[in-house]
Amino acid sequence: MLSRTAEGLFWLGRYMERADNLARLIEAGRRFDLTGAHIETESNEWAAILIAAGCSNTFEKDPEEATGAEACHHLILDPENPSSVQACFAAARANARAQRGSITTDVWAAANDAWADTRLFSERDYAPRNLASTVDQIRQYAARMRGAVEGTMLRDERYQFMRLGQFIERADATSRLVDVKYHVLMPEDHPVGSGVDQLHWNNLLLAAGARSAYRWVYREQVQVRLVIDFLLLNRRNPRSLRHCLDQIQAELGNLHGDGAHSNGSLTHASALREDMTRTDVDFILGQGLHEYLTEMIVRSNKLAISIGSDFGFGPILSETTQEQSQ
Amino acid sequence: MFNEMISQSGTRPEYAQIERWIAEEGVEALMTRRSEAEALFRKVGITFAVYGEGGDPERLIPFDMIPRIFTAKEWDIVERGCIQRCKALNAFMSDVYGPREILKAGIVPPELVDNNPAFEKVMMGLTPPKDVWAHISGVDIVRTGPEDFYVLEDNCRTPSGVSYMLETREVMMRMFPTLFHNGMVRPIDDYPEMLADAMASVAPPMCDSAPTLAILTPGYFNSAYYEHSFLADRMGVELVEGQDLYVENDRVWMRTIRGPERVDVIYRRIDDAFIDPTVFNPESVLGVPGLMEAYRNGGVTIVNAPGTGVADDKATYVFVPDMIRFYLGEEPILKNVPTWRCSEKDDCAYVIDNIADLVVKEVHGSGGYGMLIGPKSTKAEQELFVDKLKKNPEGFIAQPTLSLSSSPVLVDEGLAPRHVDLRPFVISGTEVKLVPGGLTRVALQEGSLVVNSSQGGGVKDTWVLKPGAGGIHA
Repeated sequence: MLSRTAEGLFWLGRYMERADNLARLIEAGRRFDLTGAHIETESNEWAAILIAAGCSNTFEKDPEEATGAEACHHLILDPENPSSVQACFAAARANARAQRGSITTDVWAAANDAWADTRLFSERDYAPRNLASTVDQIRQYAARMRGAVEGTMLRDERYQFMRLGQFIERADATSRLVDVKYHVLMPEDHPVGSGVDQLHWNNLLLAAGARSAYRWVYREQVQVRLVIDFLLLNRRNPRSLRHCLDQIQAELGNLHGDGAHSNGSLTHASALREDMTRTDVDFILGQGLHEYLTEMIVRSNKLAISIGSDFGFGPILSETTQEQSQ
Repeated sequence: MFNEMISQSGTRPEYAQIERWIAEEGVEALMTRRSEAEALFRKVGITFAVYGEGGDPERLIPFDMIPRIFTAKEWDIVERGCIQRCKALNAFMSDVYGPREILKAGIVPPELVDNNPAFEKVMMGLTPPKDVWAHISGVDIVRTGPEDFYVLEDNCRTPSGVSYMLETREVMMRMFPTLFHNGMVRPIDDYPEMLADAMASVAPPMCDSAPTLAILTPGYFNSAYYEHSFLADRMGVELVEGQDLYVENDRVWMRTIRGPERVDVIYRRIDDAFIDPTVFNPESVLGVPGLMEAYRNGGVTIVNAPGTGVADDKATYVFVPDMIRFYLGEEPILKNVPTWRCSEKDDCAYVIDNIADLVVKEVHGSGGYGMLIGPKSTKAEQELFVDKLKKNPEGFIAQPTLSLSSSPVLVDEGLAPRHVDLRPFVISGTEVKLVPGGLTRVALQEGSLVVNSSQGGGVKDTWVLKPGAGGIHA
């Protein structure tokens, strides 16, 4: 398989997942707005959401001053945002088109339809009365693409690179999502563990699409320690960091089985996963949640880069052409 | 005007089935199904880009559901004519880059070759594997009477449109299976294998095992990208971009996730100027540095060979019948449209005097751009063209406006005649052959003569019937 094809499929998987995660973040913001938490704490959750979406640099002003409408505009269709929902579906579709020969008609149709419909999004679509259905729509497009991949792609290298992209992206998104809490300033009179704090964690679970699952697993009220355990360490939660790393390691094992340019990504992935299996909530809180998450984000990034060098993403010069160009 | 469906004595037998089918389905029902067909086209992503315009960057080519039909007898003329023509064109390319017999014999003026921008000096003295130059050619044909076929132009560079030929058939078979049940329409779906076989048959001298084939595309932003990926998929070969390839020790290698993999035969869908920045346009990032050197040394075969454009421009066109006589010793089966070469003083004067009745084309133009259709143009447009012509007479040729045949298309009111042309795709490997069919382009505007997709033309499925079909039992 061409390295460029692998790279395109990897990014197709990433963008598809990114659009889905954006929808979840917007949903979390929408609920923050509705639960009145922002009035009680005088904090701005949309700022945290913009930061979690990695948009603090593309957003035109200080995220702390963002209104819901401005944040949604930026996250859904702002042309200045290369990771808006529209941009993600456009990029997913561009990769699908470039790799049309490597994906099934179902995957192509799902990517093409998602692009064709979302590119017509306008201000109307994030107006308060339409926002919920817009979020649903985005998630349905992402779900259809995911379903098409799962249901129709041969379990070969093509599938494995899409899965790698998907789980690298999801690991990153889950880390950022949990980190949102760090960016929501807690006022002095609402200490950790207060009702507002509880509400925040509850919404985070919702944003991860995991509130019922949490109840199912722990059969308890929302507790900080359990939420951290669930979102980061629980192997059965498909959005947990641990689950993502399990999947990444498995796919990398499959891919490396038939040879590669180098094996840096295997080493990175094993080390990351090894560390996770030995970690517990006490350790994470001891290190500081934000510090722990920051480190995980950096390490997953390195992992993504080493996947690129292992399989020849980007231009690689052969030895002779390198000599010639020197 | 020759109507392909209806003669003075009624519907031609080959169209009897179509007439019955339209009566049974009803025009209105068929019109509704057209949107279904368009949805199918959009679903598979068969779109094309129109350059230099705003709006939707990817458009569908309008599809007309009434097939265009050739009887076995008519097709025999087209097929033999195309094969003959392509053999002569190949002999011409081999000759002008080699011994130049036809120039020495005074049949083709040497300046026509040497001053031709498509003439590639680097090909002189070089013989491609099996001496095949244009492995894929498109011959654009129009019809003016029952057995009167004219060649409008030859396309020896990288003719496109074959995906439309194959996909329109797919869509027709899917939507109207009953039309095909009697087995009278000859299938065309082995085109990709035919092409792959031809490519394998011209493997380079250094290749000592089963050759690896690849299609080289400029990328997904190219207007014909769909076709590139479609062919790669159907042929089961890699679709590569320039950045995927590099040359080492006169062999060409693809960058894969496991390391380098050798490529032996490359069907390139990029123009000569871009295939190798060390030889042609140094700015090109679409090509592969060193490709020409590897080609020359027998490490790779380039399909079509560089420099084939020397045979297909509109000034060289005039000499194709002479090439057929010179190289093959045969009389041309397909006619040439009488053509005035404006580089000749007398011809030029004639064209200027009669510009209102002629079609004037740029010698190196394509896609229906930069041409003047005399009878359809205004006085001002004609004057503008006369100016251009006087400034650069070598740049233009002129032809009479032919009375093109028409084929029925479906419109709200029922059937209406529209002008059509035909582009069969001729494949040359160790043999020269073509699948029974081609791309029928249709001018959808009433009275229009321009069938190019970039100018609002549409496409139709093209049927070639088996011998004996379309007769009394239809």
